[in-house]
Amino acid sequence: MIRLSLRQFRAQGIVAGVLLVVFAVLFAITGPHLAHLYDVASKAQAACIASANCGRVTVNIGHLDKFLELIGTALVVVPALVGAFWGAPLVAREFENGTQRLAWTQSVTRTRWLAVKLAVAGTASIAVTGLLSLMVTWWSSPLDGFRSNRFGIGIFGERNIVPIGYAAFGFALGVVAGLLIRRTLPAMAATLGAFLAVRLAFSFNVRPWLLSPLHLSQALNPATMGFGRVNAGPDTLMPAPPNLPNAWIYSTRIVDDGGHSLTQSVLTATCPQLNAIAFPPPVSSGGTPPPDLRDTVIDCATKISAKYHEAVTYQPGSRYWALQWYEMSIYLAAAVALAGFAFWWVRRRAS
Amino acid sequence: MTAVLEAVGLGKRYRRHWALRECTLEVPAGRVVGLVGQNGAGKTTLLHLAVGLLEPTAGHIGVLGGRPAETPMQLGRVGFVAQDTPLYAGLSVAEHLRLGGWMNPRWDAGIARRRVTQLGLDPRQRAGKMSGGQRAQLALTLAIAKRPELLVLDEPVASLDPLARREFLQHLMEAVADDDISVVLSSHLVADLERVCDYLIVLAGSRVQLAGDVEELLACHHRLIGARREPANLPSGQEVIEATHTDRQSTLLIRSDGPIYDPAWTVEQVGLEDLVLAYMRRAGAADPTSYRGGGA
Repeated sequence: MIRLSLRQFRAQGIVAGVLLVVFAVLFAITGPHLAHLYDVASKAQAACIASANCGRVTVNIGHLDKFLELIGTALVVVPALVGAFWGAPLVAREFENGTQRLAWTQSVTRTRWLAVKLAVAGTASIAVTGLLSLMVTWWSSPLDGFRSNRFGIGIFGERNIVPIGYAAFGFALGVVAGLLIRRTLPAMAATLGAFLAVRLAFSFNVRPWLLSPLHLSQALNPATMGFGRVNAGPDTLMPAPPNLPNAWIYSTRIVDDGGHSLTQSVLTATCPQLNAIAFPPPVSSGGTPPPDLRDTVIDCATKISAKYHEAVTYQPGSRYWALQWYEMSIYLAAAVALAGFAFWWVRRRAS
Repeated sequence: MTAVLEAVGLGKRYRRHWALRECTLEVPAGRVVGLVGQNGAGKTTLLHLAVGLLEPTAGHIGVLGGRPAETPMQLGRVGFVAQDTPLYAGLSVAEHLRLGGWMNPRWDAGIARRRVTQLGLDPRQRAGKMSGGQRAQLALTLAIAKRPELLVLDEPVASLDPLARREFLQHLMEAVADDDISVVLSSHLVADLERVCDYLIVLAGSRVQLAGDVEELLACHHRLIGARREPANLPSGQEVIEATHTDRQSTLLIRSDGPIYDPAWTVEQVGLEDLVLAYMRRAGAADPTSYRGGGA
């Protein structure tokens, strides 16, 4: 049975192998160059921070940024593709061609038939995605270290071990979709849709609550206070992000001792001149030009800081691996549950 | 001798439609059994139940004294050629034989190779590019080389031209003649089965209408032709299967345990095809709703 599964998987396996080799070669060629660029940049940044007047150090990685984009999307889509191209047809193609009637009447029980198929293609799914993630993690480590943004929405799920969980889940999802829909193309489409929906919903709504976040209170620093708006909200004071290296910062709010956020009415009452800056009178009306924004904001923040402080909600950088393991385990558990359902279905329902 | 196929109150329902119901059968070993019925009569359902591709909704089915497909051992004892002879289109003839070997511990590679050579199949040819006749022959080879005790074939010749049909059935008979293999094969044409079967099951309207040894069936059915009269006054032990009347004449197809003595009737032999058709028509008249066709 295992040899039949290997034979049926041969073409897909070869394609995956070739793609992996292509990626490996690209990584090997460009990796050292990228590491060198970021080595230089890190030294420049260290020197900058040591100096009194430091702006911002940027790195120009030239044509590599296109490649960076490519591998970024690659790791997002690979588990989805694994589900759609390896998972969904695994059983659906047999139903579509009626070959399950051939396979299930040989001297091999359906349970074993499914177990071997799942083992062969599932192992390949996990191995391919795992290897790709390993290469991407290695390749982009100088860059990730420099940006210290490991929790970024497009980065956390594309490094280290979580892609393995995604691949297992995507594959199992595809198998179940194929079992229920019994036709390859619709099953592939359903797999892609369902996988992306789960992945997005999880990233935005589940991952932040896997571990309860920490809270930090600190006095407002008028010198680094910003002024602006979030989306379509009103203009307001915006504290600079706290100095928490590698942390995942959920929110930075201005609150009083009772925990109440700074309201717009309090802000305008305390700093009436801010409004003049935010909504300057039309120039044609001949009004005086607004006073300097920077000074006004600092002045305002100083007044506000008498009663208000900064409250930060965040995950410390030290929890990175715990979150990686949690998320991977949840996806793996979901994959196991889906596989269990597939076994039940093949034994009891399918024909 | 134990029955190769034994069903008691067997039924299979798809949602609200019964594809097969109240099926009670006992097929002795060593027979070539023809399963005949129109499309949608429940032939495939019965065969799929027998090879374990389906689970019964009601009743019980036993094959070679075991539950279908329950163990690898049980699976190995039954060879199956499904309708339209499904094969892996991307795999070659040789690869199909290899997979047969991988998946069946009792596989006889010698028989498989011999048959492929004898049939003139190119081992490197992919199944997807073969003709219907070649596919059927390869599927039969896979089923036979498994060395089953029971061989089940679902409409094996339906898609073949008359020449390939005859050739296929001939090969089938040669293959099962040497070993003591029991065979069940289905068709919607009696003519296909007449030449090869010595046991017949007629399915119509999801029910078994008739089952028995072909010679016995032929011996106990008669066609009576005589002056027009209502069939009600026949002696006991005679059952009318079908009655047709013209203005002056009545023709009855009856089942009778004993010989016919009534001199008013001219008694004729009934051919297998007429016999089967009479039972099918009777079932259709009794339960017209069951002629839905499709699926099963």
